[in-house]
Formats: sequence, structure tokens, C-alpha cells
Amino acid sequence: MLFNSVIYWFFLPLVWLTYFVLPIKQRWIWLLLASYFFYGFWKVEFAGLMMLTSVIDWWCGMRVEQDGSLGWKKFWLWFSIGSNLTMLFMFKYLDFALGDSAMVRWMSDHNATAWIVELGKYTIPAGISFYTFQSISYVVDVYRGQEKAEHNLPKFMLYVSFFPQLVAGPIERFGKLHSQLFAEYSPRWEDVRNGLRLVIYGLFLKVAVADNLASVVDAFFSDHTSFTQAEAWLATFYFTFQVYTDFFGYSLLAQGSALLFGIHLMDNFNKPFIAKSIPEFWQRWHISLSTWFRDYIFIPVGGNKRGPWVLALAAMLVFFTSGLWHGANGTMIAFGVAQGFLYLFDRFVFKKLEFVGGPFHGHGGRLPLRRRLWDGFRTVKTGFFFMMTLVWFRSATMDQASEVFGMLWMPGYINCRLDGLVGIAAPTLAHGLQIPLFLCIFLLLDLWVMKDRADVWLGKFSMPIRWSMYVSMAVSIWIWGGAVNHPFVYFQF
Amino acid sequence: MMAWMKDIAPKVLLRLAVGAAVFFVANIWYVSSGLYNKERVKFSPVAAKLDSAFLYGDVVYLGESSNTSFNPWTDTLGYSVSEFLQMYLPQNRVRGVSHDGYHVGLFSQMLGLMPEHWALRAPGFEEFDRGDLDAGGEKTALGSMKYGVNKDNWYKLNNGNPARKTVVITVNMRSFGPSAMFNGNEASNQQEAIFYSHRMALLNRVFVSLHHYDSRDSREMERAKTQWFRTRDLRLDNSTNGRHYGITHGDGGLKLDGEVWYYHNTVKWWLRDLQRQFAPVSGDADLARVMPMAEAYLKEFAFLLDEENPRVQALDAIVAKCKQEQVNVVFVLLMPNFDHAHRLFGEELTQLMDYNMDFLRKRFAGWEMECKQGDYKVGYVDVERAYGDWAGGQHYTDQWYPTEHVDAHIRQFIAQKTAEKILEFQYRDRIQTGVTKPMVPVIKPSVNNLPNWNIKMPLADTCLGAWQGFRSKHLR
Repeated sequence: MLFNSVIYWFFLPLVWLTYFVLPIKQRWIWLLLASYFFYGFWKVEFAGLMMLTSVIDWWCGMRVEQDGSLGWKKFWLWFSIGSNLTMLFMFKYLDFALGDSAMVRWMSDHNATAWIVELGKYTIPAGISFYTFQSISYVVDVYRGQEKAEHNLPKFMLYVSFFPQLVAGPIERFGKLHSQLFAEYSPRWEDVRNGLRLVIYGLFLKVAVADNLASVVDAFFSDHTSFTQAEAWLATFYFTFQVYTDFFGYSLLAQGSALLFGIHLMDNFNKPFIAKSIPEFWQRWHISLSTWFRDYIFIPVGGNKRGPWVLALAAMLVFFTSGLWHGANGTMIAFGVAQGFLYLFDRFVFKKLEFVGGPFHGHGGRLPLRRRLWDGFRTVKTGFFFMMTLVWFRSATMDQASEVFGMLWMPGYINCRLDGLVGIAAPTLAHGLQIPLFLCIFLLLDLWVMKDRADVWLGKFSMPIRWSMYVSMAVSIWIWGGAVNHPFVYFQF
Repeated sequence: MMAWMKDIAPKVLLRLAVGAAVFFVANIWYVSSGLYNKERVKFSPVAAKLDSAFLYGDVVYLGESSNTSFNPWTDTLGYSVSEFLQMYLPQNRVRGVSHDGYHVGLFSQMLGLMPEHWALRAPGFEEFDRGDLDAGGEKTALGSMKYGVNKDNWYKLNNGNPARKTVVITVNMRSFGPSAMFNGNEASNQQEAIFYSHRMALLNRVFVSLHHYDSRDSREMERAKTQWFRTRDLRLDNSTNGRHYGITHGDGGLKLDGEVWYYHNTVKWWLRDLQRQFAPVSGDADLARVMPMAEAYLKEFAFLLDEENPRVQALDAIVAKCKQEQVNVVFVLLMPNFDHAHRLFGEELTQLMDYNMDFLRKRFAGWEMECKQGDYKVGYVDVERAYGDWAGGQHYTDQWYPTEHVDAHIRQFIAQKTAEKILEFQYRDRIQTGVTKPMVPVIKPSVNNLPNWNIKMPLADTCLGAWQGFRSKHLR
């Protein structure tokens, strides 16, 4: 079930209303059932897979807590991590790992091994990367003694499967989410109101902004050779904000839906395009994943405490894993590795150029002009580099990525197409105008106007202004929603 | 009532009410500004054509690409089937609505645009209805205030005869199979289908924005199709004799059970054997061209119809809708290219095709019998049987791919048989009483496609001996 589907808007009120009508002690059971229905609605067998993950990690969590010897604790920890990664590997990476070798052909010819090849081609269970990471974090936290193990299996299953954040995050830590799921809570109007505000803004970002941008981006990447150099730049630029508004919109929808139940999920984005460096960018982009990598890979490997070489190694490991996490594809690995190099470049090289910006303090407490210009340059540079790496992210193959890079950077490419094909951005005038208009509104809000999260920011306005904004967003969703069938970008992960 | 409910319920209800009001106002603006019409044409050009067809047509021909496809190089006439049909029914207004890749599932939804009591409307009914509206009269479902037409007195006005309408539905057996059902374009077809309904305009647009249709993308469709190929049993009547003779399974070769050959349990195994059989002769340039064609024939035709098939259920829905609206319906069962299928795979494939055709025939014949005495009628034109037997492969425009695109000779034949069926209904309804003189061009279309003589028969019966020889020599 998708947040931007009609069925969800019947499902959510029904679950919400029933949840609060039930006695407090039984509410979580209803939420668990609803979460499994939400997930199983798409494919029932995958609900079984999620249940298996939950059972294994629940058991491992208890063994880690109860076993006396460190050796056994480690065994159960690695058993849990191994089982999670195996499932992830089987469903997400097997096909990529097997490739199309002679061995694979031999395997598929023999019944005893044919199922392995078949499994690799099976549909990737939605959100498997998210819930396995969430589940791993629980066992690691128990091992570290930061959390107590949950002894009640169904309650642990709810932590793994809580529907608003199940398929695309935010990846919540056990300590934060678990306590809220079972807290005695009476619905408050503030939470309902703020939740609805997040939902409508999230839906606006997804349906009106991201899906409209997707119509241009998809048209370009489905047949990139038919387009001009200028259109290649436009599509790359649009994709940068498509992926942002798509995932940001999803996160807001998740936060808004959860808030209706009184559960506060973490912010997953914090204006990433005002970041002045790649390290800062990743502190603002997909925060729940970045902090997961920080806590469970970067710091354990050595972090920044053990010299530059270890830091470089840890950073590259994190970004390589991040690329792989995003997809079983060479292009995703290239995206991750490129981010790693940019991270190291900013951390070790660009940082040494700080003197160019001059002093930080000027007259009257304001930043000096030189510093502001330098910061502005760094912000644009960061966004631009990120945009370039997204070419790998969006391309279906490495060959396509290379060709798109060629289109973007080869000086002669501008003259390659002179046959007067209709530009991708403007199938009709109305369509052509609404895409940049929505994007400009979003950029204006995101980069300059909105200083707080959408729900808080909207609450600062008087009722007529606030309601006119609601109506504008609703009408934009209804009438100018993107027609391209494009599920949430991060669902595939 | 719980305390929180007292606090929250009025606020939520108020907002819902405001939201609903905004929605209705937005809907009025959306329609009155002309935006909806523009978007409807953009998203679903067929919907606008359908409106016109139902408004001005006595016979509405719902077709797919086979209606209009012709060979521009060799066809003697470029008329579509519906155009030929108009020539055979000069006293009816035939309106053809066709679109590539359409199928009975969509035709069923298209009938959602059928106006209320369409069956009883006189030709041109809407025109005088509109004229009456201009004169200040109120529009009614059945007629104008000015002319006093309503359901009760319409028969008197029409000399006691109902102005029965007919819908012609082309039925392409291939479109019931997995390759057509899990086609990558199906999501876009389903998006168009949202507009085949008289729902509130803005609701249609919201459904488009929120993808409230079968919006599986091409990757998901491909997976569903592969799943079908992998798992669906091809054995007729669940016979135990169905055995694939793949090398892996080494089951001793072909089995003969009476008159019927059963070789392959699933498309997957069949495709694998196709690859293997091709291997011994892979240096043959002609076969290199035939292979993709053979694969396409397998994927398009190797399936068995059953009651669960969604397209079969769509046929039921069409009949139910026409019964409800008292509209006559004629199904035109198109003729797949049996000739090429036989040349490629022999009986093994054609028996499956025959089974599927018979499945549909039985269904149509059942309805025809059931409606013999009723007010509305269901009929069908079985092109294959009516033509005699399989038409030669040379009648087909596409010589390298399985389609039902046929030359003018067969298109005219289909139109003629369809017209005969419609006229039969109209005589029974006493709408037609005299002899109908077709106004068909004097030019007689000839068989005019260049036959594909390159088809060799790697899997047909005649090749099996050679294959078995090769198998025993090299693959043991």
C-alpha cells in the first residue's frame, strides 16, 4: 500500500479511529495487525519474510542479553546480523551477484539449483533494506547494553513493522520508537492537526512537485539519446529535486501519519541544499540512514579518532555500503563511491581553502560579504557535485550514465540534434509552466522561507492565510498532480 | 463519549466539511474552465471519441489495431473493418473506436460511457434534445419536453419499434494471454480507462494523480508474466500425459496419447527446448530470423483459458451491461495466425489455440442461445469458422510477429459477416424490414501480402525426427 494511493486514505482513518476506540492495553495489537495488513496488502508472502526477520532478531536479542559469556553474546549478535544480511542478499543482491555467467546457466538447467537463480529474479520485498537495518540496530544496541531486550515477540514485531515508517523509513532506533508505541496516550488535537499538516505538505511535495518532475526526468532517461544537451542538464537538475521532494514528501507523510497516533518520528531531512560541504550535506540528507551508518559502521571502524587514513577508510566503507544499500547495481555503487571521494575531498582538501572566505566576524554581528560569497559558492558547489553523482543514481546502466555525462560535458553535443524534436519539458504549455512553477515554490519555501518544519511553520500564520495555503496545496494535488506512474523512489530500496 | 473525542471530533468533522466544499467548488471550476475537457483529451483521447460514437452511432464498433491496420504497400484497399461495416449497413450509422493494444477488459470499461437508455434513443436524438434545450426545455434522460418523448411513448413515435443499438466488440484470443495481460503499456491503458466513466470530473483527475488504477510498471508486469510462464500448466484437461521432453528431464522423448500430443508442461520449459532445438542449426541465417518470431508465438499463444481469466470475466461484464441497457452486442472473434503457428510448432501449439478459441466460442454460443427470445441479443462472428478454415498465413500483414492484422480481403469478410449478424438482429427487432443493399466498392480486394516462405519448422512435427536423431547422437 502506498501513501499516495486512494486506498491508504481509507485505511489510515479507519486504523486511527479504531486504535483510539480500543482500550489502551489492546491498541498495540490493532496497530500490529494493521501494519501487517499494510505490508501484506502488496504481497502476503513478504509479510511472512518480515515476520521471520522479527522472530530471529527477537530471539537473538534475548540470547544476547541473557547469555553470560561474551563469546555467546557475540555469536548471537553475528547470527542476527548474518541472517539479516543473508535475507537482504538473497532478495536484493543475488541476481546482481550471479550475473549471467556460464555457471548460472548451468544452475538454471538443473532442478536442484535452478531455484537459486529463480530466487534472484524474484521481486524485491518493499522496504527490506529499511526494516532489516532497523532490526539490526536493535540487536547491536542490546549487545552494547544501550537497550534492554524485548521479551514479548508481538511487541517486537510491532517495532519492526510499524506501518508509517515500515517501507521507506525513517529508520528508527528501538529506544525511541518502542517507548512511544506502548506509552499510554490520549489523542491530542495538536498532534492530529500537526500530523495533518505534515501529511498535506508531504502529499503536495510527492504528487504535485515530484511526480510532475518525474514526467520530464522519465522521458529523458527512457531515451536520452533523443534529447539535446540543454535538455540533459534540465533533466539532471529536475531529477535532483525529484528525488529530494519525493523522499522528503514520503518522510513527511510517514511523520504525519505516525503523529496521528501520537508517535514522533525523527526528521529525515533538514534543508540539505543549504549544506556547504558533502559531510554537512549527509548530516542533512536521509538523516536516519546517515546516523545509522555513523553509529554502526563509521565509528566502530575507527571514525575520526584514529588518524586520517582510518577516517578515509571508514568513510569509503560507509559510502560504498551506502551505494550498495541503495541498489544492487553498478551505478549505485558508483554513486556511493563518488560520494565517498567528494566527502574526502571536502574533508581534506577543500577545508584547507577556508582562508579564501576571510574572517567569520564582521561589523554589527553580520558575516562579512567575502565570507557570505564564499559560503554561497560552497553551497552551490556542494549541490552541484551532488547533482552530478545523481546521474549514476538515476541511470539504468553504467553505459547510460557514461553517455549522459558525455551529453552534459561534451562541448559539441549541443549541436548534435537539429531535427527540431519537441522539447521534453513542454508537451503542452500548461504542463510546461506548472513544473517550474511548483519547483520554484518549493525551492523558495525550502531554501529561504521555511525556517521550521512544515507543521510548525504553517501554524505561525493567521487562519485565512493558513487555509488559503491548505486549499492551494489541495487543489494542486487534485488538479495538477503528476500523471506519470512513479512510485516513491526509495520504495525500491 | 470519550473526552478526547469531544475535543477532536468537531474539529475533524469541520475540516472534512470544508474540504468537501472546496472539492465541490474546485470541481465546478475545473469543468467550467474547460480544463477537464482538455485534460480528458490529453489523458484519454478515446473517451472523447466514445462520447461522439454513442451520441451519433447506431452501431458502435470497439476495436483494437486489427480494425485499422493495413499494409500500405500491398493492400488493394485501406478501409478499416468498421468502414467496411458502414458500407454493408448504409442505413445505420456505424462509429468505429479503435486503439492499438486495446482488449475486452478495456471495452468493458468503455461501456461505462454508454448514455442512459441509449438503446432506445433515436438516431440524432441528442440533436433535437439540444435544440429543445436551447428553446428553454428541460433535458430528460429519454427525450425532450418539447417533443414529449419518454420511455413510454417512444415506441409509438417509432412506429412501435425500439431504436435498438448494437455494440460490436472485437475479441482477440491472444489478448487473453499473459503476454498481453502483463504488457508494459497496460498501466497507461488503465490510466486512460479512468475517464471511461461518468464520475465527478475532479475525482477522475484525483484518481490519475494518485494512480488509482492497475499501475504496475513494466518491471512488475515482466515479473508477473515470467511467473505465469514458469508456473501455469499447459496440459489440457489436467492430463497426466503432459510431459516435457527436455534434456534435463530425460524422460525418453515424446509421448503420444491418442490423437493429441502433450509435450511441455509450462512455457518456460517450452522456451528452453526451443533454444536447444535451435542450437543444432544455429548457423542458419533464416532460422536466426525465425527464432524471435517462434519465441513470440509461444509467449503469445501458449496458455489455457479458464473462468478465472480477468478478460473472460470482462466478457461477462460486457454481456451484463448490455443486458442491463438492452443493447444488442456482437462479438467478433478474430482469427489468429494458425498457419504460422502450425508451421512453427505443429499441433502442439495449435491445439492450445484451438482449445482457447473453443472456450470462447462455447461462451458466445451459450449467450446467443440464452438471448434468442429476449429483448436484447448477443451474437458472435467466428471469423475462422466462417472463413472455412485457417486463413493462409499470407493474409496477415505482419509476417514476422503474431498479430491479427489482416489484408483487405479478410477485413471486408469480417465486416460482411458482422453486418449479417447485425441485420439479423435488426430484422428480428423489426427495425429493418426491407432488403439492405450494401454499398461496397466494386474493387474486390485480393490476397495481397507477400507470404513468409522463410519459416522453417524447428519444432513442428516434421522436424521432430531430425531433432530426435540429433538428440540421440549428441545429447545422450
